[in-house]
Amino acid sequence: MECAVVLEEIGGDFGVWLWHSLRDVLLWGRTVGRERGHVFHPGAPAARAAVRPVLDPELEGVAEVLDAMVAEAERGVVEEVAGACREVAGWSERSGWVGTALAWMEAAAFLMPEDPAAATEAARLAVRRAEYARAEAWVRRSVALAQVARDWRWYVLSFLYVSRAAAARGDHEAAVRLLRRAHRASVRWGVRDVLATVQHELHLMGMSPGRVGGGGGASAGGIEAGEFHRLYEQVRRLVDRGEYRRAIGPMWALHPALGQGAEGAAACAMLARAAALLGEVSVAQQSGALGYGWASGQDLADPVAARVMLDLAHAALALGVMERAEEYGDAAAMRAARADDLRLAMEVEGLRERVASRGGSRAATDVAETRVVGPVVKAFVRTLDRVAERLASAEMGDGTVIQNGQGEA
Amino acid sequence: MQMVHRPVLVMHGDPGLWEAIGGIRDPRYVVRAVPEWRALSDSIRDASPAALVVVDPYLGMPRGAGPAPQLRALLADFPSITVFIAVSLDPEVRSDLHLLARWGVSQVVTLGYDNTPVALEARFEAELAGPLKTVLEDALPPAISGRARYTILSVAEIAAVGGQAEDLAERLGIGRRALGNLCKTLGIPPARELFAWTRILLAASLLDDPGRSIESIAPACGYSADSGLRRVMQNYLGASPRQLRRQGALRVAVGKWLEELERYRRGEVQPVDAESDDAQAVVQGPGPREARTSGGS
Repeated sequence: MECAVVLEEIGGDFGVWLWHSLRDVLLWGRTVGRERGHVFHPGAPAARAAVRPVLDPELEGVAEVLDAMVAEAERGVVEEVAGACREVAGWSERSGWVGTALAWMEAAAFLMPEDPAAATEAARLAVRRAEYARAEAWVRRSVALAQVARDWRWYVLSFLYVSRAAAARGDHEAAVRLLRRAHRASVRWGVRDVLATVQHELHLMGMSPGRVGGGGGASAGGIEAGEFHRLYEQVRRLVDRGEYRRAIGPMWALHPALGQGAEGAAACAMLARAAALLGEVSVAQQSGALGYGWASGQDLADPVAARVMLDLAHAALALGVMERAEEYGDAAAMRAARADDLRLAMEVEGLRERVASRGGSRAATDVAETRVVGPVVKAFVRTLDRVAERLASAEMGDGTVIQNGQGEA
Repeated sequence: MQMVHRPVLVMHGDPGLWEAIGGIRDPRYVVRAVPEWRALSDSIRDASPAALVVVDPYLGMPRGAGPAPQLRALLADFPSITVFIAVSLDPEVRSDLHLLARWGVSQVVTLGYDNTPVALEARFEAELAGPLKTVLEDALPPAISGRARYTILSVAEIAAVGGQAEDLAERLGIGRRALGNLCKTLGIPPARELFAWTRILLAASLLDDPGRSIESIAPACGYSADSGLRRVMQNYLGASPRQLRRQGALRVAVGKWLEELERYRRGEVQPVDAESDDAQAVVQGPGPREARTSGGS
């Protein structure tokens, strides 16, 4: 039976009134023009008033709109009736009647077929009801509508909700893929209020939007993404603790990824930082250039690009190139703010304070330590040469060279 | 579209309802009065899948005794049929609505409220291929695109009233040639195959009606004879009507239909000439297909 879910969820006269009202909306929506004026019997308004139950005050306004729709059907305004449907949907959801909420939201979407908001909300409610096929059908529609309307908030939310459907069905890979798509879109279109939710849900799935190498199954330079992330974080911890020699091994394990996409750029920047701290200027310069080349081309809200700039700032600081350290630090600060990455922003501030105080970084001063890593450095230089050659032939953008005491784009 | 009539079987005594029915302008609806429950059962048994039924659920019942058990039996015997009840919303009816929904009533007409010609036509139209469309909407996988889904469901509505491929083209606002190209682009079977399959699904839905005899199904679905229905069922579903009834005909038919859709979606089946009315699918992959007629058309 049409709209039976309302009767199933809500008993008594109120349930019947809500069910009948919803059917009235759908019937009214199916007719057009002058025909609409003849859809209800002349006695309908009185019949409706006779069975009206005591209503929650929150629904009084809605009831007036629906009464008017029945009494003067030809004059009803679609947007007003659709708005009433959305109010009922919201009230129903707050009251715990999600099936009823979905039915009313679908009515709103039926009345306003070009409205991405109603379609997206219908998808969200369908996911809450574990009706995943229905949710996916609504998402297909809401994505298309949002694109036409260039309403990127609903576009991002559509992918967020369909990701939840995938996760609920146990398809973790699809859920992560769809969440990443939501993340990219929210970054690209500046949908900041949803970005935090997307980041949180990625985090819940064990992923981080700014986590380098976090894409499940993807690989950079043949290194599986999870393994890349593990090595990368290992290098970071060792460098943070000043254990530069111990960092070289895992850093070398990352070398196949150098210069390849986001992961490669992050690895280059980390290598630049580690090399700078070991006094290996040419490696620091060369890998820094590669990292900068990638990061400078990214959206300002890209968190990986922010991380790259921070590591380049560390490298410049270690080499004593203070102007560059300030410049990269400022870039990192702006990008971290745009990416809404609070943790990264705090790290950047820590670095900028050191730059401001000309405190410098802990550099390796043990000659013996640098002698041990000498052969590895040569291998890095060879690798970086090859990467630079490959990228040049692929027409990568210019890199900025960190030069001791200078600094020239 | 070729005029195909849609029977409306009405078992009700309310004058206001009859006045509204009399005001329906769409000539496709052919209304017939039925006096009581047994006659209604007999009428439904021979009716097409597009038939609609409008009843008084309390006919023959003392006041306060609830809806008639004959209605429950009717809905159990013929789950494929679309049944409207026409009632006033007095307290007794309001308390029975949930029960009537569980029995399988599709739609409610409220006397003195929405028993108008405009409302009846709108609701009749909304219930085109009702139960089958509901099954397909739930069964079509997410991989089927929105446009393909709309096309397939449109075929269900059009086939339910005996329509053909040219009616689909008209609904979509394109020519027959463009329809062929559209189906190819969407990765779905050509129009003739879509209609052939949909008629099979309709027949299968009737096979699942315990109250129908197998012999009554062929003419109800537009097949010229029992033999035509049997041949088509064997060709497409690999079983006889009797075997399918035992297995759950619609469930089997939908499963095979989805397999076929998936083969087209993956490009395993290529029509020789998507624009030809006599297109025969050339199988490029494994499959039990042989040349088929488009049964019953």
